[in-house]
Amino acid sequence: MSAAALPVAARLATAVGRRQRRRLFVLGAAALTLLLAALAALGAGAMAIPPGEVLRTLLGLSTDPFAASVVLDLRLPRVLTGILVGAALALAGAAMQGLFRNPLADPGIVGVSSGAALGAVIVIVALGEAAEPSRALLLPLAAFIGALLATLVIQQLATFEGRTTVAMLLLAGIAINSIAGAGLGLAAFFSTDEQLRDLTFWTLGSLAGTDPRALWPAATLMVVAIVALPLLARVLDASLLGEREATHLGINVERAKLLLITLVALGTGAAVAACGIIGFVGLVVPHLARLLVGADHRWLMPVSALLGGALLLTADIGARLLVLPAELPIGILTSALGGPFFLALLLANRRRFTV
Amino acid sequence: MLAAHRVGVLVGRRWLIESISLTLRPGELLVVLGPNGAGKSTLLACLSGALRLSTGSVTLDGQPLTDIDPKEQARRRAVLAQANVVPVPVHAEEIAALGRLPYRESAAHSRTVVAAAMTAADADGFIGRTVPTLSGGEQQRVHLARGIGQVWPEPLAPPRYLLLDEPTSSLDLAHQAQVMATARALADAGHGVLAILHDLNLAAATADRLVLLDGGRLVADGAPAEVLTQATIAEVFGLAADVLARPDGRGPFVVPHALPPRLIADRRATA
Repeated sequence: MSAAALPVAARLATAVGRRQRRRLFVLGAAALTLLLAALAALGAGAMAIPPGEVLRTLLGLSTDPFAASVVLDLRLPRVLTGILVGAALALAGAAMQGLFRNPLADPGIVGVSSGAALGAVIVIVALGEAAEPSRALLLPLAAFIGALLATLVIQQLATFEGRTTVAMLLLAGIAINSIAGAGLGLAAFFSTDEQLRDLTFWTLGSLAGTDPRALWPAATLMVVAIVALPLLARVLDASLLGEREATHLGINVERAKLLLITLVALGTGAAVAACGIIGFVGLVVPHLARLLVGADHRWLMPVSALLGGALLLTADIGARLLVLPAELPIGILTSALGGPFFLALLLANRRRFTV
Repeated sequence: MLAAHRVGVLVGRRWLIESISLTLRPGELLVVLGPNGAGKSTLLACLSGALRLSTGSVTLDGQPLTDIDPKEQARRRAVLAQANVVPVPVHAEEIAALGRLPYRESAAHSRTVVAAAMTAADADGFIGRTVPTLSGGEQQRVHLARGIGQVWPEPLAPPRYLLLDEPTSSLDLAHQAQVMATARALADAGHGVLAILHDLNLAAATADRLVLLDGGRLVADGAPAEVLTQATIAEVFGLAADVLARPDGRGPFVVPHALPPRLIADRRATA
């Protein structure tokens, strides 16, 4: 058998080698894209700063203290938050699509994000002033719990005997989104004017405004999710075959599912706590990454993280520049772009999703 | 050996399988036969540890399956389900390579095994193609390559087992024979191979031993010539048949008669 397999082994090595080189190239290109987007985001705004000056500032060589202050104090925290949020949402989307074996899973569409927003809003309205001192910690925690509850409900509803159906997943999403919508509406009804501004922020999403020092807890949680989710790449690869087959490959499926759901809720919850609901990043980015590097999660996850950060920064530049001197909530922008993408995806898969 | 001891699965108030005892020995090709709903896939799910047993136990080389770490189980036995649908465009060789997931090994070694397994399953022609673009039978061969790679013979390794649920269901005649020849070769190399089949003659020509299930019970277990008799075929399948000898002498050959309507009526009456 082994003698006959020799030319096959060579063919396999060639095919795998060519694909690895292509994937490595894409990974490099995605990293470069993120870097360029970050430079552009640091320079763009009401006060435009050229990339050369941005680079000098970052290297500590700037001679213009005012520009340096704008870049380092105002824009850098925002850009770093944007990168983390984009990466966390993209990875959460990729993980959900793998876990549910379903290309339409996205934290926004299936209600994980609105669950998180509801959790955060309950803290704002119910605790009011009392929550102020520990708000930076309480918000991500409440958002995480909201996201976790939503994910668990979806998983219980949509997965039956190890299989998830598209219809059940989306219907569960509709139900959770409307429950969360009712909760958000109720909170808006009972809130003060100042709280109402906060609520709008949660539901539309924005990278603006928040005190960078208050972001540390949420940022830490996002970093945990961003580091841990790609480590589960092989579990997600095996899950492509279905739960039972993954078990036969030696994966402890129940434990892996719980871990994945927790990390998805952590990433989404922290992202929502940091900047509200930003839809469709988790849907669009993994699809784009899959077109570029294929379905192998060892490549899909890191490329998704990089492209997610880049996409969010690009959208944020748009949000800051489109209606100068005011600023658009970024969630409006991602939804305006992601909605048509979702429709195109439905159109392309019409045959497959017809029940 | 892989053994079921008086295994039963109760769902609601119905026994899917009831008190089945069965052993799969290393070096043996065992084929499970039986009509639809006889409990063949349920039995395979029990042997692979995928189902909770209502009664009895399953042991792998003497150790209860429930006491063995999943990863360790995966290194000692592979399972192929009837239908495997991969929802995204993955390459054939990537699916085959998933069979090496339970192992910590170099990429080069993994690739050697995957190449050999793809060759054995006649799936090496699909290298570089994505699975959703392959036909059902071609996909089945890719998954077979994954299963074969998962239990690829290694020196000094404990006995290995391969459980196949209708591995020939979507295959053309030549590939049916080829899959069973591969199963035979793996058994001859020391693996315990269990396959569920519907083709009595393919089973009789390749298996060391046949097991016949009906209504969740084991009704016959033995050499092909002992199990495939006119009486058992009439009893289990409700089918009148002649049992001839193959010209090459490898087992019996079953030629069903055109189904007499009376027999169908009889069978309904006794059911």
